Amino acid sequence: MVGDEHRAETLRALRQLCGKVARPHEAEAEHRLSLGIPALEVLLPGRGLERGSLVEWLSPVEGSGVATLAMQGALAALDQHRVWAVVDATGEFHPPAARGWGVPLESLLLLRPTSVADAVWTVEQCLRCPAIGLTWFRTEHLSDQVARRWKLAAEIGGGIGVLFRPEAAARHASWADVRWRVQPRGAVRPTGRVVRVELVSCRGAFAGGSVELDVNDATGDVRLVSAVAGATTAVRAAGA
Amino acid sequence: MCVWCPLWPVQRRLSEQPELSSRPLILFAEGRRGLIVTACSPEALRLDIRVGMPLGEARSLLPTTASRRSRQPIPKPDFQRADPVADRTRLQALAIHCQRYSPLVGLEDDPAPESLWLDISGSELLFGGEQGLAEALITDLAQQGIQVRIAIADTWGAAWAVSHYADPVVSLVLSDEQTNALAPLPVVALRVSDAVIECLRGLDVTTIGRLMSLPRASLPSRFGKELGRRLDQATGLAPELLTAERLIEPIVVDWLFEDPVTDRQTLDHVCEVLLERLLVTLEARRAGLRELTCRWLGTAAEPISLRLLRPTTERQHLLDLLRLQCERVVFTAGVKGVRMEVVELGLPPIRQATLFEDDVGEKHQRALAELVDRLSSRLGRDAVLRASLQPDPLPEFSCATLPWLEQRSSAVETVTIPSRLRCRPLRLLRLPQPLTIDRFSPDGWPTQVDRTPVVRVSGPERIESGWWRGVDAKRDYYRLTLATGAALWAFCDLKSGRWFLHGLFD
Repeated sequence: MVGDEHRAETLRALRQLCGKVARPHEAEAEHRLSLGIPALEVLLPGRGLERGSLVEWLSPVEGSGVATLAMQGALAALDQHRVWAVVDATGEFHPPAARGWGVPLESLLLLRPTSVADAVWTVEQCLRCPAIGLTWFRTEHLSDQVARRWKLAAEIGGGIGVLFRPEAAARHASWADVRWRVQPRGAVRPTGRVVRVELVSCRGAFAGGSVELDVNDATGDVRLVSAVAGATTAVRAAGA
Repeated sequence: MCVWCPLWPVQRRLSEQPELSSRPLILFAEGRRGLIVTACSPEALRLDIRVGMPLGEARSLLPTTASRRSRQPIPKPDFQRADPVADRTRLQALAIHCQRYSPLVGLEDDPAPESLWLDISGSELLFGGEQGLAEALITDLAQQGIQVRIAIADTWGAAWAVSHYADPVVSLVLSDEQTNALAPLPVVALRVSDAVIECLRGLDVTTIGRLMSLPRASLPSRFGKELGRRLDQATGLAPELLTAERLIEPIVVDWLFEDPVTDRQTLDHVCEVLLERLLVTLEARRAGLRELTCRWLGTAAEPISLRLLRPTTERQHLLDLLRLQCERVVFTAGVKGVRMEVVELGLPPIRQATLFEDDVGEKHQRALAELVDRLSSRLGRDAVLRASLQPDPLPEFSCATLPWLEQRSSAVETVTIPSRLRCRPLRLLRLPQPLTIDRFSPDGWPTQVDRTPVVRVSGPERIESGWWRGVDAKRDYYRLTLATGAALWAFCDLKSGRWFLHGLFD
């Protein structure tokens, strides 16, 4: 009996050790940041994001709602007087919409670099700063070297880096800790739209999980789409 | 000596913009119930416009056409927003100018000062007496377009009262006649609050003489401590302090080379040495650096301007910022010298050491200030912005951006309904792009955009606004969801009937 207990204890310790090798910077579950969407958190190890993570959102078309999904977790990252840095090279970011999703504009640092080199430097500076809780950047091309620098900067600063990239970037390897792919679905809802979110890769976890989410444009609610529930509703509505 | 500049905000504007002198000038500011008149010129007073009047009422009093009798054209009135900070700054500059008459010149102790106080003990001898000094001062200021009234007395309070409420432009109050000079003046001349004045009027105590006839001991209990203190200050029984304006000596350091230099390392080193010298001077003054310029002598290279979010004396931080800018300067010729000048000083933030750990919030504020300095230094001030909502229905004007380095506006943020803002896209194109609509439904809604079917249309949201900008906008906004999954924010221009893409719901 004592030998069995000892063996179980050893195995548990070994499992923990293996887990730490795979996820060297794993934080305690209570210190993880919420994504604001429970259905997506289920797919992540520890059900949340570690501070100092890089998150990539891939989308096939512009206007797919990917930023709206990423916005859900913004408030969680802006605790302790942290600031949200938006590196907006095109000058198209519209702050009133962010205010509508609950982000106070006092916490918004809007940056408009005019060259690619300046934009890359700006993102790195923001990621490296402990006062920045969230850094947003939209880019098509990203070299390995730059991505690695950003990853290290994010680990130093302790904020979350969010990159928006086209779906074609999924073909290339990434230094991002988490990669999501957003695919708008054909289903049309009177109040919003349905998107399929797939976990393309995740450090320390198995990728491949996906969920369908119903995004309500008016209320901002993001809910898991249940195929069974939808069919039942349709049957009831038909009077069956 | 008290030098009163009557209607100082108006006089300041007129001295800076002489072309306004023949026109009624009305200054206004935000009041409790909207915009109100805060000051107006004598020409405006003749039109029955009064201080405290709502601005709308003042506008309605303006005659629209020339009267038949006079048949003279009516000068167009000028409405300007009051600027108390600029008024005070100009008065401070005037105080510095008046230091040629006295080494101690200060502003009166009032939130909106209009008077200068000069301690002329001994300096009147240089101008042939007090009268000569006053006349020289009046002539000097008149050349700058400023009309003043002057009183000289033993106390600031008496000089202030006589300059404001006695008839002559120049009044000299002798030491033994101070009480007599004050006696006929109204109690308002004692600089007490309106409530005390009302109370005194209720008791028919209208002049300082009548007030002085009351038992002095009973004044505090009946009218409060303020009245007794002001009376004592006017009669010389209580002291009153003068805070003199000081001309701040500019902090400039420079380094001249024997031969023109182009070597970057040398220039970096010189900048470091000069910065060290500046910081030593700042430390002696217990001040922090807020803005700095660095000029390259003997070359046309662009000077460096460094502005910080908050004053600092941190050497390494300042050096990093300087290097960030120095590496971008292009030298087309050798540099003969480097000159560094402090443009603005400030009090460095006081940090209280804690026993265990720094306050996280303060730590983040400090880190953010350093980041903003770095970003502004490399990207430019106009690329590091804060956003604020504006009460304008047109999307392109609904948000204003301001450099983060500038002070946050104290204006109250626009009250907004979140659900309305949620209907706005996160990406708004800088200029609306023409949109090709291939097909329309019988109702007139787009069903195919750029060869892509539209699966859902919501709207319209009609926005008609902006007539005051010259071009009126009349738009019907729609949210179009395409078969590809893209959600567009498009509008139909009701004047031309054309469609435009204005945003993307990313």
